[in-house]
Amino acid sequence: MNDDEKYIEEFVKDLPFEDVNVRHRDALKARLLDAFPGHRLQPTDHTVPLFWRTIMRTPIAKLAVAAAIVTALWVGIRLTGHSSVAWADIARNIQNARTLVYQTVLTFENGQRQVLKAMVRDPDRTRIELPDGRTWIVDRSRGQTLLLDPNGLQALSSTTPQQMLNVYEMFRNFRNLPDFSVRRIGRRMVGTAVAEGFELRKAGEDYPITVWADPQTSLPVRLEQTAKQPDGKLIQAVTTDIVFDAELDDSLFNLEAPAGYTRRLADGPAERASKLELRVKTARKMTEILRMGLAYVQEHGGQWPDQLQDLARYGLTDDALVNPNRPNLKVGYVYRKPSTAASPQQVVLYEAYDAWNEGVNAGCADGHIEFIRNESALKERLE
Amino acid sequence: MAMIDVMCTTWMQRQAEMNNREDEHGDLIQRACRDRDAFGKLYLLHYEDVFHYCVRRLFDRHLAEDVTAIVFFKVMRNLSSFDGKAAGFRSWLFRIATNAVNDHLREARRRAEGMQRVVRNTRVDEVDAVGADEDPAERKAVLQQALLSLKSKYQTVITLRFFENMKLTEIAACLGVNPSTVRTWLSRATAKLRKKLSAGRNHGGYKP
Repeated sequence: MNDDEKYIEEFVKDLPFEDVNVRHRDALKARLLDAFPGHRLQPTDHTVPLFWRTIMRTPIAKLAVAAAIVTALWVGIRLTGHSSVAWADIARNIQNARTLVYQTVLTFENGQRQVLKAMVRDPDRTRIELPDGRTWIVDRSRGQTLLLDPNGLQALSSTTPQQMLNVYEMFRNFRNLPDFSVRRIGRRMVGTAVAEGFELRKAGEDYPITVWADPQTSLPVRLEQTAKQPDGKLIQAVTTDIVFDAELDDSLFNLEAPAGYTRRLADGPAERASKLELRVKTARKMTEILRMGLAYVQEHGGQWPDQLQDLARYGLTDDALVNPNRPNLKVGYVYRKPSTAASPQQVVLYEAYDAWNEGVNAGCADGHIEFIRNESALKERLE
Repeated sequence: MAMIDVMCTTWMQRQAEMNNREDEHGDLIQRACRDRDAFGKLYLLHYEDVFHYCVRRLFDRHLAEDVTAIVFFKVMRNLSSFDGKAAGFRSWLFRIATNAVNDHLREARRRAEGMQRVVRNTRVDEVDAVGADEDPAERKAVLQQALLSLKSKYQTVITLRFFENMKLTEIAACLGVNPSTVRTWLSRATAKLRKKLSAGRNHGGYKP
């Protein structure tokens, strides 16, 4: 070993590098095995398209985290108090930009990750692309969305759910919410360059937004944020590859289905009928579980079982616990053991959910099923 | 004599164990081409190696995880074309990882150029902007900047040599070149890297 090599060996000795993240390892294993040639996709948690579920089942909340961070900065955060000259430059540069392109990696609590490439223009028009080619186009001004799936040549269009519009309103409102405090947090390497860090904290918020900016251009190069979803689970978003004022052609935001694609309406009659069918199927399965529960009650002096699995003697199978709406879960229902003196209307069983959508089926102590549209109504019935 | 016998027996046992392990690994590779579970096992055996290599080339956990994913998807697609012995699998894997890392760095540089804020031929005088001293985290930042300013083949040989502790022949197998070529690259790479790191030292940087 020559002198140069000895020098390098000494230099690199004991340098701190990150170790394996077991969650990433396991999540990647699941993705690989799902994609293994010849493997028939099963409706597991990994194979149900995350993108689809994100949009259709937990409307926008997760994607919005990513979009909100950058777009909020873009439409303008007016800063007070601790704003530094450097931060003011950064904020001004962001506000002067006309278009925005970025990539965000969302990491969910279960270790699953979703990479999104987003393009924002106006900022009413957004295009989000996934690595497998699926694309989501939103035109807020027209209240429309288009989901393109090149694998099945499907184009699903819908009018934008109100919840999404509210999220975009929130972006706009950022300019009227000057209650961020800004703190410098030093420098670090981001990619191949040194970046200046700023921590943006809003009163009452648990998690700050961290912005890393290029000191030479005063433009952000990396944003980090942790956010809480409506169900309390955390989601981490790291945004990189941020480009301002890139040329974004109108065609990128076209809401017409490309040639060769089959167009469907997400909220058309066929979709509504399909949803209703699932709802009825779920209700039927829940009725069966309740029937077994009532048989148990009769033989146990009015006591409900401690857990659903106790109903196995009454014919409950693993399959009975699978919710047709959530086939990825082993147990797709939440059971709440009622007291002996439960009222007939008390909810003892309801569909498991991550975030509230249109409603859930709920089974009552007298054995009937109701579809509850309002989450607060469900909570009241549970108390 | 007895001592020699014991040593011989131990050596033979070790060789046999190694051969067995190699056979098992070879068998696993064969099965992994068509058997999903076998592929899962093969993946778990090598994930750590690939991630460690990627994170030492890219200096960023998230990027390293992304590239690690790319590597294993490539492995899955191309495993049936791997016709070497088990001993050569690691080299084959590292070659894929090296190509994936280099592709990523090239793409990152291209994007950065598009944004007109690429660090072109990263200047050594930027190194001391980090304020390098003997703090390992800062030393790492200095190394990152200096290393990433080298040609990718030099980055590769340095990482394989000093982080993966590979011999020249192993590096050569990974890169598909002669050991003598690796020797030349390593000499040039270490000299250039040392020069950049020393320049940092002159500005208050690292003093080994």
